[in-house]
Amino acid sequence: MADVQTVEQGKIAADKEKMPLLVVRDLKKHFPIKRGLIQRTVGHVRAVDGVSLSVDTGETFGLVGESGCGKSTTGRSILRLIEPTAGEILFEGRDIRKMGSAEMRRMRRKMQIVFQDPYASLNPRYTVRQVLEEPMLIHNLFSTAAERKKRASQLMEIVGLSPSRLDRYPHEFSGGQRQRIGIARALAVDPKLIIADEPVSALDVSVQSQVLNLLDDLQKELGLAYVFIAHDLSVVKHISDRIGVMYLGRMVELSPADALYSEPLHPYSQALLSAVPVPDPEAKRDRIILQGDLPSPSKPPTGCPFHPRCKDAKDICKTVVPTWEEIRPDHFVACHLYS
Amino acid sequence: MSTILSVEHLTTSFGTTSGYVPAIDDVSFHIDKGETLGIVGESGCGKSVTSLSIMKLLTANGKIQSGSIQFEDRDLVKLSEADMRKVRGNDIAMIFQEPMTSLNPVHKIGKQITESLRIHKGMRGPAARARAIELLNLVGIPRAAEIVDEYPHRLSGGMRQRVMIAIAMACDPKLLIADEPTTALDVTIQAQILDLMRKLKAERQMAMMLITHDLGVVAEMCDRVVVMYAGKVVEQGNVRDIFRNPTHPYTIGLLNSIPKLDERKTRLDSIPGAVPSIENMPAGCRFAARCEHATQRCADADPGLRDVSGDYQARCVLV
Repeated sequence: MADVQTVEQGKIAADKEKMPLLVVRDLKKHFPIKRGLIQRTVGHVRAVDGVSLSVDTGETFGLVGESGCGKSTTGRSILRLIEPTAGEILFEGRDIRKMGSAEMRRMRRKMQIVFQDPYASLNPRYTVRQVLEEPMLIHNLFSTAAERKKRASQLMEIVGLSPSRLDRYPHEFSGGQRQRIGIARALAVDPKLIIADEPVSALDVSVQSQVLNLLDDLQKELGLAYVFIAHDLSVVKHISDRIGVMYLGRMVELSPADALYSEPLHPYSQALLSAVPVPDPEAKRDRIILQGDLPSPSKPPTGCPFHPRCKDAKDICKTVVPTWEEIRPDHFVACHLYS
Repeated sequence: MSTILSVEHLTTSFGTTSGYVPAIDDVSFHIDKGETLGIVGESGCGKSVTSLSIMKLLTANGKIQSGSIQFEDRDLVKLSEADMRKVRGNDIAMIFQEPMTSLNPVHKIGKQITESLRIHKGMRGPAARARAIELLNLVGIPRAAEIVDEYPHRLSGGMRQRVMIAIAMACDPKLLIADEPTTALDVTIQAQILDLMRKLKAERQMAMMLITHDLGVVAEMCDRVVVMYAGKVVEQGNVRDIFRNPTHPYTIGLLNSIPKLDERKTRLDSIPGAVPSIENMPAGCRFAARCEHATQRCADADPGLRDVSGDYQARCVLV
C-alpha cells in the first residue's frame, strides 16, 4: 500500500489546488470475534484491510464487490459511522479521524449517506417534513420554522416530488419515491459528498433508472461527489467515473470506468464482469465461472486473497501478498501477473 | 413438441378488506416438454402468484377463481389436496428465491432431501441416504457424504441453493418451477447456479418455468418469454423476438431502462410513474397511464392479446 500513498502524495504535491475532496489511505476495520463467558477476543474479522482511494469534487467513485467484500463497511468507516481500526481519512485535507465529536458533527454536514433500503431507513412515525427538517435542526441551519419549511418544499421539488405531500408519512410513498425522500434528506444540509450505499438495489429496473437519472442531475447541478457502492456492475459502470473493485476487504483493482470494462486486469474483475448476465439472447458469452465460495474474512487465505479461486494462480500467489501497482496511467491493480 | 403444462384463463384473487381483488387476471400460457419458459415482470406483476397458483400453494386468503391448469392429462385446479400432494415435489418441483429461509434449520440436509424420496418413492434407510449423497454430488456439492449430515446453517447461500435444487431433483420432476432462484446470490455464484440448472435441464429433458425480474437471466436461460404487467400477460413470444423486436411499450421501456455493460450512455431511459395498485386497476389498458403512445382508445377498453406473428402476441392497440 506504500505505493499508492506515494502516488497519491505525488499527485497532491503536483497540483495542490486540485486536491481531491476525499482521500482515504490504508483504511482498516477489524471486528473482534468474542467467545466465552468473559467475551475474550479470539480473532478478528478483517472486513476492510487496507483500502486506499480518492474522490474529486463532482466525481463519482464506484465501489463494487460481492457480499462480504467490505464495500459497505468502507463506506460507513469513511463517515465514521463505524469507527475505523486504522488509516487516514482526509476530507478537504483534514484528517477526520483526529476530530472530536463536536467537530465531527459539524463535518458530517458536508458528508451524507443514502441507504439501501428505503423502507427501513425512514422513520415511519415521522412525516416527510419531519424527516427533512431533522438534519436542519441538528445542524442549526435555519433560525425560523418558516425558513425550514421553505427549504423542505424546495428539497421536494429538487428530487421530483410534490411539496403538497410533505405532511404525509413514508408508508404512503412507493419504494422509488421513498428513495427520493432519502436523497432529499441527504441534500438537506448541502453536503459536498454523498455516500450512496446500494441506493437502487431494492428498486425495480424501471424505477431504478429514474433514481439513477436523478442522482446524475443532482451531481451536475450541485457539483456533488459520490461514493457509489453497489454489487450491480452495470449500474456502477453507468454512473461512475472511476471504479474500485474489492475482494475480501482489499481493493484489487482501481481504474477509470471505461478501462475497467474494456480491459479488466485482475482475474477477479474479469470473472465478475463475465458473470453479469447480458440482456441479449444472441450475445457471445465467454464466461469465467469461479469455483467455490468467498473465504471467511476471519481466516483470509495467505498471499493473494483471491488465489484459491483464481484460474491463473502461480506459486508466488499462495505466499506473497501482491503489491498495489499502477500498470497504466490511473489503472491500479494488485496482482502478481502484472509484477 | 408436446405441451406439458397449459394454463388457460387463470384468475387468482386475494381477499382484502374491500373484497376479493384479482392479483392475476385471465393469464394463459403453455410450456412444452424440455422447454424453458421465462416469466418476467416487476414487483407485484403477479409472476409469483402465477407459480403459487400452479402449485396450489396460495395463502389462506388467496383462491383460484376461474381458469384451468392442465398438467399432462390432469386439471390441477380440480385436483383434491391429497392428489395435489402427489404432484408436488414429484411431477412438479419448485425452488424458491431465499435459500436461507426455504430450508428447515432444525433438520439435517440429508433428511430434507430424503423426505420426498420417502413420500413419493417409498425409499428408506441406506438406499435413501445413498440417493441423497448421489443428488448432492449431482448438484456439485463437495464432500457430499459429510454434508448430508450437516445442518443448513453450515452452508453458504450458493451451497444452500444447490441443496434446494438437489431436493427438487430428487424425484426426477417433469417440470421445475424456479421462482427468482438466483436473486439473493452474488453474480459469480449466480453464474454457477444458472450453469448447473442449464446442465440439469439438458440432461433430464426437463421443462422449466423460470420466474425472474432480471432480463439478463431471461436472455441467457429461456426459449420463450411471458412478460407480465399488473396481473396481466402483456407480451409473449420467442426470446429472440422479444429482445430483438419488442412490441409492447412496457417491454420496450423495460429493456431500455437497464444499464448495459457495453454502452456508454449519459442518461437512461425510464418509464415514468408507477404500477397501479391492484385495488384500483384502470378499466382499459393497465399500462396506459405510463405509456407515451396512449390514446383515449387505450383508456376505454383492454386491447386484449393480439397476434403479432405465429407464436408471438402482445396486448396493445398498436399491433
